[in-house]
Amino acid sequence: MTDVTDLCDLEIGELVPELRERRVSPVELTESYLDRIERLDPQLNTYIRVMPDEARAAAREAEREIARGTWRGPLHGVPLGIKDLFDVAGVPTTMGSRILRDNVPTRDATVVARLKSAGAVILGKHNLHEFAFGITSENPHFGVVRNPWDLDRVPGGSSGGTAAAVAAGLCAAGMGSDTGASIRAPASFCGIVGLKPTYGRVSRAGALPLAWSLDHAGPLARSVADCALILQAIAGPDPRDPATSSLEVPDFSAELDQGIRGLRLGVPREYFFDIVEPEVKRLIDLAVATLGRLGAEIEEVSLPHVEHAQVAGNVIMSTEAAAWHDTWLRERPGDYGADVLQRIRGGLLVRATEYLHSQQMRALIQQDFAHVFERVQVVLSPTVPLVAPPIGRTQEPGGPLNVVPRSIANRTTVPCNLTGMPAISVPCGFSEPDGLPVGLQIMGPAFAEPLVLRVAAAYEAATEWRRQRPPISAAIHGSPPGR
Amino acid sequence: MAGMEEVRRIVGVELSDAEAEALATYYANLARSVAAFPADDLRRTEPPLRSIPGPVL
Repeated sequence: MTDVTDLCDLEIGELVPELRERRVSPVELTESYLDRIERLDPQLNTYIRVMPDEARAAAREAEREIARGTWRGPLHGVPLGIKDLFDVAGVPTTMGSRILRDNVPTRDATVVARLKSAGAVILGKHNLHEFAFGITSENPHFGVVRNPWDLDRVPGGSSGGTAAAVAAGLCAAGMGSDTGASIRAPASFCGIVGLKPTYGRVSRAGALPLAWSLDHAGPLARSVADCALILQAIAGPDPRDPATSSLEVPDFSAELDQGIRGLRLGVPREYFFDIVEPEVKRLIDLAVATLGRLGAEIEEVSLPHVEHAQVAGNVIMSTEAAAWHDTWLRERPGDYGADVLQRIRGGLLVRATEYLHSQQMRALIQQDFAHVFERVQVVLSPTVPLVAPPIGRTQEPGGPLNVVPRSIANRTTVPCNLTGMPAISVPCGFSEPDGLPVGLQIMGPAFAEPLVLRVAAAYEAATEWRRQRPPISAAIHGSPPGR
Repeated sequence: MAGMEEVRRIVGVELSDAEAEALATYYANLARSVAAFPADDLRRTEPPLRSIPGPVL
């Protein structure tokens, strides 16, 4: 590990006064990131496409605007990365696939347009699990993404390139998507913060789908406050996405420093702690104890139907994916990676009644959470039951539990895709002896992002995890790695 | 459980025996898990499928 010593290691909240007061220029900042990408990304493989010309042009424009007193807000001049399933006009959106290698959109995704409007500088498009359908980001077409904490381990997925890039300082923050785990699992594996907002809070227009009823777009960043800033820029109704809510968008940063004294936090009795690596359990228990010391009341809660969440989620996900991929499955099966092809084809086999039973189960799980939220404000769990597994060994039993990593990686996250509730992963420590990050998941009622962010911010402020940087960052600064 | 021939018919492309068997096993496991959902609870629950009117702007 290393301490913060570089422009690229600063959080957005730390960059804002520097940029606004012109002590740091967007051009200087962008060049720092482009240099770091050039030096580190050959090892990490987080970007499918770097956009240096576009980034430099946007940075120069931001510099001109700030110099003449036009301040667009906290993302003005901030370099961000975009998961390569969001459209950026004029640049291929590959979704990590061979099939879409030459898919060039003419219009920005709504979230990209809103980030640009907020003054952000887009550095490039991030690598991901093929078609966003997997948790490892071992991409057969664009190469394996490596975890900056241990280059022999996966970064998680499907937003693995985004999470690894944020953790290694190859962008200030990034945009990801989450259908079963894809923001939160990589955030957990890479030691950063990832927020899956409420279904309908953020537009999915211009984001290629995996499963329409489960897909969410959200930020990955190095702090809870940074996630709040990005969410502020991208949230709100969008005529291009009929699922977006017309509810008023609150100030997501307003409650971050209010603490959690007197809040009631639930810890589920069932499911979430049934299959968890001992080191993950130890760190989550410590995190829950820390929240208790901050003045929250910890209460055991019961979610009787949640044991079926993973099955229901996987049925819905594979069936909806098969519908979207139907033509390619028949005409271009050879252009898919083996694991993704198998999973999507599995969706072709699901009967309509099984899909509907899974949707009914979804409603039952929503009812369970609704009852729980009558007693507690948020629910806590491990984000993922395990630490990042080794590359190439995610489809075979291993680790302390001797389980297949791919079979359990979305176990604790997919309930919130079914319910649409907001959930955040915040770093809560490092496993011993491997020094791999672990994430605490905080789940809240629909549209309660301010509350979820508030609890996460209180925990983050009480710990030092956010200040840890992976060994690869130490190499950049010329100092020996601490782990 | 879908047999290998049924799998081939539904998938609609040429599959090796290993591919067909893997898919049949994958589906059988999913189907068995769905069949284990509590039937009484399902019977009293409407699936959340309905028209979404979209944002009011």
